[in-house]
Amino acid sequence: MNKDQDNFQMPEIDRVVHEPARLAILTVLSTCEEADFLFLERATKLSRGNLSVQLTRLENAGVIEIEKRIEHKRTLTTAKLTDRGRRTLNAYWESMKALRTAAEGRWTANAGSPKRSLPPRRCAPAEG
Amino acid sequence: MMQAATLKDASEQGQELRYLTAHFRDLQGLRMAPFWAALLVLTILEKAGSFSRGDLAWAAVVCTAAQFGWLRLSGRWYERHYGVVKEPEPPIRSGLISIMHPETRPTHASNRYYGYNSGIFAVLFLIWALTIVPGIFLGHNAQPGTFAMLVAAYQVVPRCFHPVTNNWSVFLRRVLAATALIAMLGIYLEYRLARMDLWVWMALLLSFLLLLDLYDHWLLNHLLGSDFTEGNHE
Repeated sequence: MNKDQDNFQMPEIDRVVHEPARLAILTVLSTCEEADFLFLERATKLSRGNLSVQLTRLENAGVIEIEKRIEHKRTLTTAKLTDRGRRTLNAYWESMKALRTAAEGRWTANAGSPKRSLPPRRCAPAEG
Repeated sequence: MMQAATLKDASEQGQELRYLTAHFRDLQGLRMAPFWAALLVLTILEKAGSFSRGDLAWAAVVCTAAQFGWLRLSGRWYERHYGVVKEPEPPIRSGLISIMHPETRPTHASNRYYGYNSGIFAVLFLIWALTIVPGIFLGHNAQPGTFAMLVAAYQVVPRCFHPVTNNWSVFLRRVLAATALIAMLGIYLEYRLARMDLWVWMALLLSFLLLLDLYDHWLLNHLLGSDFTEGNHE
């Protein structure tokens, strides 16, 4: 293993985005202008309570906007990504891309070196 | 390697979510499936000799008119059962496409002429339909194959070019569409060159369209049934 890989710095990961449920929500919202609660619930397979909590957290972080309106005599709750949210998500994917490149490079280097028995580094679970 | 594989999995799941969201409307196969089914029944009745061509043309017009109502009803049904996704607005919206998807009305102030434009397109569309369509289906020089081929190309060709994910069911959608397109071209050439029976050709064409739309509806349910957030640490 060379010196560069020993000095490998973990890219800074945005924990608001990194949690899988919130990442799934943001991935959906990044592809459309807005989506309602029902679609998000079905697409992400989250329970209503969990989805509601995650949406509130994302809204509090300023990543999404939530709007409630009446349509066809029923309340429609829609969520959309803010400009800040879009920037945050792009930055997150950039850091993940860097991490992936680094992880693949590390594996290639390990495969070529006699010291292959390094244990995989465990990631600490995100808060929330 | 494990980290890279995990990241790859996350990336593929993200791709599926993006595909599902971007093609949410395309995958609503029940919007068009009843229309193809009704036309297929009419074609079979014509082949069986229960209808005259004139009756068939009128029945097709009634089905087409009913389809516009069904588009709205089925749109509401999908909204109630699957939710609402608002697509990013294209810079220029075709009036004809707006008529075909009446519930996707643009909301921005820049589209304040939407109603006016849609009205003009509707009148032009009706004039075109009343001038061209009866001649295609009736008379000695009837060429319904050309019209049907255009409809099939409008419905099937985009499915051959939509980007796909690593999910086998999404890839199968493209395979089915490409196969249907090749088969339809083959059948059309057979009809043109070898004078295959018109109604057999129409029935095959409508069967392909029906099958593709039913597959789309199944795919929507299949993708919504996949567990994208499996293993999340809530």
